[in-house]
Amino acid sequence: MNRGWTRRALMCGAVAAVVAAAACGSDDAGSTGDEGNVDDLEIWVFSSSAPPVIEDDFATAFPQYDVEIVEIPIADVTQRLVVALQGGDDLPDVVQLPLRESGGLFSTGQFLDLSEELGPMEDDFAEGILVGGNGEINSFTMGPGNMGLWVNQAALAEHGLAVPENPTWDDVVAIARDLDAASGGTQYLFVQPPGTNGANMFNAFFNSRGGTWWNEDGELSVDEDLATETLEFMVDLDQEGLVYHGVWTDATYWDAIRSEEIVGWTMNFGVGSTSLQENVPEQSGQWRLVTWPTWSEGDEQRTGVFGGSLYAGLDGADNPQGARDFIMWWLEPEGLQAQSDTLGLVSYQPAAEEIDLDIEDPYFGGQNVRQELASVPYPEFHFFHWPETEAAITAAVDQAYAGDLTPDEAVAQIVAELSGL
Amino acid sequence: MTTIARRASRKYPASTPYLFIAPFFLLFIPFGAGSVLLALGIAFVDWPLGQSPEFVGFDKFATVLGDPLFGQAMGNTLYMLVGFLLALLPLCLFVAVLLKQLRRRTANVVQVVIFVPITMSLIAVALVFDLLYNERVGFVNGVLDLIGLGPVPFLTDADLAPWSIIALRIWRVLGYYAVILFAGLQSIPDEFYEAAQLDGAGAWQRFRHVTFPLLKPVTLFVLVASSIAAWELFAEVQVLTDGGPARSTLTAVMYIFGASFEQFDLGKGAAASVVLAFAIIVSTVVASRLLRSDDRA
Repeated sequence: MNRGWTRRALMCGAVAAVVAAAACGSDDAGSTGDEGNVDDLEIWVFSSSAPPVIEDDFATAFPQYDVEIVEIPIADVTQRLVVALQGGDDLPDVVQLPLRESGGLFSTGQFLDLSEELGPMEDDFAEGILVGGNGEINSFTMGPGNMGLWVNQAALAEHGLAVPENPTWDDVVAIARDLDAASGGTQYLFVQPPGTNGANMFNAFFNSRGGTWWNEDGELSVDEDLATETLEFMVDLDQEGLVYHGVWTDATYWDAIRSEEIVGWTMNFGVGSTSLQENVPEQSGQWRLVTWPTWSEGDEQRTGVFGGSLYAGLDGADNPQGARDFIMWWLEPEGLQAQSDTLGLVSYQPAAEEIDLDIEDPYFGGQNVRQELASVPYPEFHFFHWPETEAAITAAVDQAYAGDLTPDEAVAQIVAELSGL
Repeated sequence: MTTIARRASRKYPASTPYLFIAPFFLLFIPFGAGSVLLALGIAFVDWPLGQSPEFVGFDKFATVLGDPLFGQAMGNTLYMLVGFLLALLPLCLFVAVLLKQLRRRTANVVQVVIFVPITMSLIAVALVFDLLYNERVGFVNGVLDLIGLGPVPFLTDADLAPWSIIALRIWRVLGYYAVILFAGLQSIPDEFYEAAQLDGAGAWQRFRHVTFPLLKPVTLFVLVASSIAAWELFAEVQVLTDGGPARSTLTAVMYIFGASFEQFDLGKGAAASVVLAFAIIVSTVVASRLLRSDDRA
């Protein structure tokens, strides 16, 4: 083949592709489509418990909307949304998002601004529950990931041990040491999962001390000393042999709980309470929730964030009013009840005046774990650049646990990576 | 032209062969060539989520090539690729030669058995290996424990994790490529071996001077096909290690996926995929040149 012709053909191909790309994403990207069909309301959800509630309760309350629910696995929802946004059509009116992925998405400015609706209610939510980007409020966190310490008190009692009321972390570590000694190193009060979950675990501990990586404007804002101290605390626990390494998505994890190898772990409501009850029902009555210990006696009690979800409306979709009605419906008594039934924790603080949240849980010996968890809020935290942040934390925490980096080197490495974003 | 060909040409119009291959091109042009061209185009634009793309020339390539994470991802991929090929090719050849020693009926059964792993879902295989490698209850560690060598942190040690991934990949594709090499071996006439034997060649010399040279075209195919697949390593890593520990198994495709669907920077993802495609082309050319130069020697 003639070399000059080949070069020309390649150039033409590239130019054609750029033109095609430009045409695909023309100015009307994310445009509204059929304006006449305002009653359709398309909602993308990943939570399997959401569709029945939406179909039964929301659709009954708002008969003017023809609700279509599209269930998408949590791992795919962002990918589908990115493709829909770049395609510029077939956008859902509302999408359920993991809280951790909301920061990056909201900063793109493609979501409905609910400042008018949620702004006046700011005092009804703990700090960090209302989320958004570009100075807007785009949504509120549902089923917030307030962390607690779940303890198998019956297993501890076999060794004459118990976690005291309102403990500090020093108290808990002392019990973990006693447990280690009494069990011959076969039982654990702390769990450290590998990889991303481990990074998020560290992040929750860090956040519970007021730590954050980004401020509300998306600027890097890290207290490096605090992050180092927190990582030192966790690495020291590991080096003392007080930590079980495993993750709750692994079947062997639940075997370890069943055999009382794990007798305590720090976790949120969704994975903590719900998974315990599903996977080890035979241990009903043995477990209790200890709300997040304080770092020093007399400190204000704060927990850390470990996930959550939210619903957000798309700016360019067909039915913005329907999206607003849908998101705000979750703060009506029926919606609050639906949140309580499907997600456990309700982040709207006046909810207790609207619905019955005095729910004693027999699995935890009658303890009201939802209210107790919700009563300890987490400090403000912003999930900006979260995929990169999470990856940087994961790599550094892995290296710190492996002994390849000291905690202060690990934190410096995280900060160096994040500074480059 | 033979009589049969002449009859056939009278019976069917000249366009008939094109109709037969048209379905392939109907799919290939939009979904194959089209998407490749589109990716190439996207690599030259900045395309914020939900907004119009803007032509930025080679900016995205500069971003990707200047990103140490991309360098690490490519380095990891290349490391796992070389390890994979160095282990896979001799093993495949060994299995293919062993197959040739078997009686035909036995060889058929063994071929079916060793071919099975490639038919299994990659995700299912990765999940099974996740259990096998488990430090506490995994079968492999159980066996190693029995002989006093366990537990080995197959997936949580940054030095071991890439090799654990390589072992999975070899287990999965070994039979497939061994069967291809075995087919190549069968096409070598027995007379060559008989002649070599008469000349006093031993087993190694027959392999070195008869089998290996005559098997080069098939070996080249195996080398190219397996190295392309190795460059595109993604699913098993995603399931087993998610790129960790400490990014030791972060691959080029994981980087591309992250840039596109986690950072929402399609231009960066497309630029990285163009660089990866270039690396694949270069490695393919190098592999074929290496084997060809051996030919001339």
